[in-house]
Amino acid sequence: MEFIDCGRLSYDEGDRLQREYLQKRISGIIPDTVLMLEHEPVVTVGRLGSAESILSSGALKEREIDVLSVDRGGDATYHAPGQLVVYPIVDLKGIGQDIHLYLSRLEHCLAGLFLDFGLVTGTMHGKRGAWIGGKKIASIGIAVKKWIAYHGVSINVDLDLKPFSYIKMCGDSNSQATSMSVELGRSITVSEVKPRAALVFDDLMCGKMEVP
Amino acid sequence: MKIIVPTLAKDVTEATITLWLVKEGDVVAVGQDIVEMATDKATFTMPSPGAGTLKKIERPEGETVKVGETIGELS
Repeated sequence: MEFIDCGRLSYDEGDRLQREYLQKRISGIIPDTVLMLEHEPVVTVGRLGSAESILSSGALKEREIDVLSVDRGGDATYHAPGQLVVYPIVDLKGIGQDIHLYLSRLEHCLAGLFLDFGLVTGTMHGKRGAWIGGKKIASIGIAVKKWIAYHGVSINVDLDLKPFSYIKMCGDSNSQATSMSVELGRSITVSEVKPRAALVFDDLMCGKMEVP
Repeated sequence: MKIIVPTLAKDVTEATITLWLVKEGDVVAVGQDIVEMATDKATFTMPSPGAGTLKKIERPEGETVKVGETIGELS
């Protein structure tokens, strides 16, 4: 599994890069590859979202935050610098073409990563992602083509959480977001989290560590 | 040839059709992406099981379908 640090990109640039790697992985010319990046501020709405996923388009417009429809699963989410986005481009044939098993592995990766920083997270009432104290600290949304998974997870490291209140996260207007910075009570950077995320994802996705 | 909802995971019994990428009357190649469906936090793009013309879309976008169910037909 290879890890590529893509830095900070607009959503379109990141998406173009992701699709380039997806096509290469489908063609079999690269191994499983994980892209790590930060997006410029944007709201993306997955296939299970709708116009109702946006609670305050005026506030988003005021902050010049675009709303884009994307081909991943799930509802609306917010991306911005200070959030680590991880896009594993992974062949699911290696885990028996089981989409739910893969989603669970991503959740275990998130839980393992947060535990490294002393944060105990979990899922909440069957809602995917990573939650702590009833608030969402990381989101999951993937797409699968030719049994290659793309899109992935976004980890709130240290960012302004206000724009999350302008959208209906997970289709629930009562869902609230938090960040590692808020939960740890100190400032923390994406650069600090990135190498730990690479280790945890490599261990769990490559079977170097037993998945609970 | 029938287009059948594949097994997406051991514990998944249904999915929602989110997007047909071809329309009735279109000629499709084997392996061509033809329909996208969603389950949980994932979308899955299904390749055509054969070559031919999409004769009929039996389950349109927005409908919930069961694994193993026929959602379209190729002639």
